[in-house]
Amino acid sequence: MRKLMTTVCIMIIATGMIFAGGTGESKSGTAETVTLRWLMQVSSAEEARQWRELAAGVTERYPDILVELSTTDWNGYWTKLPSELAGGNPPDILYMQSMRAKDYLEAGFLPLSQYVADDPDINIADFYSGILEGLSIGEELYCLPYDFGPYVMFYNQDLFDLYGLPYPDTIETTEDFEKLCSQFADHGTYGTVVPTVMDKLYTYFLGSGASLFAADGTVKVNDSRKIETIEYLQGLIDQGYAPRISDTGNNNWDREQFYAGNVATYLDGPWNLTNIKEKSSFAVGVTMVPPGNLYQRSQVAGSGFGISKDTDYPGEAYLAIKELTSKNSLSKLAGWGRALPARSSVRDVFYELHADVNGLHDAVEKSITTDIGVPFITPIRWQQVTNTISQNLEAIFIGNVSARKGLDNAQKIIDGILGQ
Amino acid sequence: MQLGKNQRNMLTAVGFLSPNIIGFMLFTAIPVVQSLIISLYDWPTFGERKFIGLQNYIDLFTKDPLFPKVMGNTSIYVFCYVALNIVLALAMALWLTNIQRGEKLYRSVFFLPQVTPIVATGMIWKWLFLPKYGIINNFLGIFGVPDINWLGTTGTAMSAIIIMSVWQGFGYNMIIFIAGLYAIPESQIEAARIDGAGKWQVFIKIKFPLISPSIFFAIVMTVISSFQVFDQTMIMTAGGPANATNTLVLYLYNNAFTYLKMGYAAAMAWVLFAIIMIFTLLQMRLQKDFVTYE
Repeated sequence: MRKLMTTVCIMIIATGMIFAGGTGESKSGTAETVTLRWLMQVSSAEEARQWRELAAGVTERYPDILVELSTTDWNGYWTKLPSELAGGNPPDILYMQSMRAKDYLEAGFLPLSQYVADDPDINIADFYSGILEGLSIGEELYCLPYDFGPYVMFYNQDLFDLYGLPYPDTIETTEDFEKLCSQFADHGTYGTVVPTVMDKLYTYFLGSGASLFAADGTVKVNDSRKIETIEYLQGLIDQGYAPRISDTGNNNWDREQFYAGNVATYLDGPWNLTNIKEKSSFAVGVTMVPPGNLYQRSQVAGSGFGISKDTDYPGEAYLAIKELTSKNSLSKLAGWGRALPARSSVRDVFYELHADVNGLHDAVEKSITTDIGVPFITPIRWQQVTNTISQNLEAIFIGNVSARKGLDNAQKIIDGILGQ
Repeated sequence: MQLGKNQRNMLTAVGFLSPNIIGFMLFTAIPVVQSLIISLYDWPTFGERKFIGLQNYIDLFTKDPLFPKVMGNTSIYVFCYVALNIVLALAMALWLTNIQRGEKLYRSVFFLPQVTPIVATGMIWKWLFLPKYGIINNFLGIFGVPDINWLGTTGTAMSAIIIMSVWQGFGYNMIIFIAGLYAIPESQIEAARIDGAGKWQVFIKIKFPLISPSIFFAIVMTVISSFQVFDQTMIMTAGGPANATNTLVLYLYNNAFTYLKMGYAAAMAWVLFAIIMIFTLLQMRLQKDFVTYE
């Protein structure tokens, strides 16, 4: 009987191991056609349809390549991608955002520099250099970008009209911006909203001459310039120029305040313009982010497509992402309002689509000039670092701790995370 | 080869049990053993893995500045949630077994949150707790209470989560207590009343001892589930503000799926397992003094 039980257990475990290991044959391909799997994050069914159209465009261009798109939402993507990479059988084509790139590129993505160097057809100079930099590790490029954007300031045009205030195109100093906010406060409205996510706050740091990295390469958040910057933002909340955060679990809290018409201005990237227009019941204008006390700066971020290190079809996958980021594809994306194209040659399509948005062209084009636009290059373990900063900024902006104490606490944890 | 009767019976039993055994092996036993192995490694979600022995456990207790905070938050949640849940569930069960009309309706209504998706109820409670427009603040405003930023203030965020959780979870224990109360022989209660016992004495001397096994079961299960609180904190606050509602499983989830540190998260899971096991054993030991099996 013991033998029988042992045999049954061994069979069960063996079956389990076979299932756990997978078949290893999920990539399908025949002599004629190669099928590539593409994992992408989307926020709506319409968006998924648009990406499918681009996938069909790959087959049109290369009849031997079939691209199968699978989609998930934003949060789901960042759970699914690591699981797929860990499973050793990830999709061939992967989406990547520049701000998360450091944690993924070297470990899970195929280097593309050699492919690009050997390809006479691709005009790499057509892509915005800052976003190429964001999707590289050192000199090695890992993704071809499809969109990018500097952070800009969106404003509720109707609210400015209602109170007879000039649009915020002429703000030159932090005092100008505070004065504008005070004018809204006089009318019982918030002039702006202070984000707690570092992706957006970094603009303020850059404006005060602070960088994410100290001279020795370590991540530093508690130097005097950053403390002063956070004290300035804390002041905006304390003076009633910006609402106090009430929904810490929601990264889009500031955007939702804007949609609801509760605040006159807020920072975001042009990649959200279509959503902003759809969800706001007022006219939207765009201008550059308010200058800091030293500089006018804006960080530039974006996204692209890379190839899984484990793909069986690297050559075909390269052709596919080349087509997905071609002029033709990016024109379509811009025409749908899905992206500010990473290629300068088709950027006008985006501006034409949003010709009704006051100030868009100038704000974006000025913000990406080399003296204003700063590629947002993040360190490894950025998610843990940025979560740590956000949690401590919440404590500061709520009024629980001073800016110095909150940032000191964040620094202590970051030092542990990065082992610096 | 001719199998004996016992062997045939055993084979039949294994045959019938095998679907369950396979499921248990695949989805419980093997992952549990795997997680123990993973906890001994520096195991990034992808990339190179390195055996580091007990280092993850050592780091957790000596180096991680957030772990004590997370443990503190979880303890506060468990203590308050279990106490409020049991008291409220018992009170409602006593009330419902004494009313003349509408018992079934109320029972269904109170149990409803238990079967409603917590993501939906979490979102609704977020709106209820809103500072300016939330119905809770509007109601309190009638009595002159100033606006409270429930989920945005470190002092009130955990209370808000506990209130929502109790509302969501007490219905299950209430049903257990109602079943326990109905199982009490009417003759014993009548005998006590004839002897001159009042309502309170009937409850303390008759009902409470007789439903003590149900209460014990409810406490054990509620303690176990409350140590694993995740959904509410994930949906309503994401652990904020300033980590005031960051609980053990949420922190574990973030380490595994946001920070990609599988080994560290697995060590955390085993610490959680040990804590739950200790608490359960402690309760088992204490039941001898407090639970009446008659």
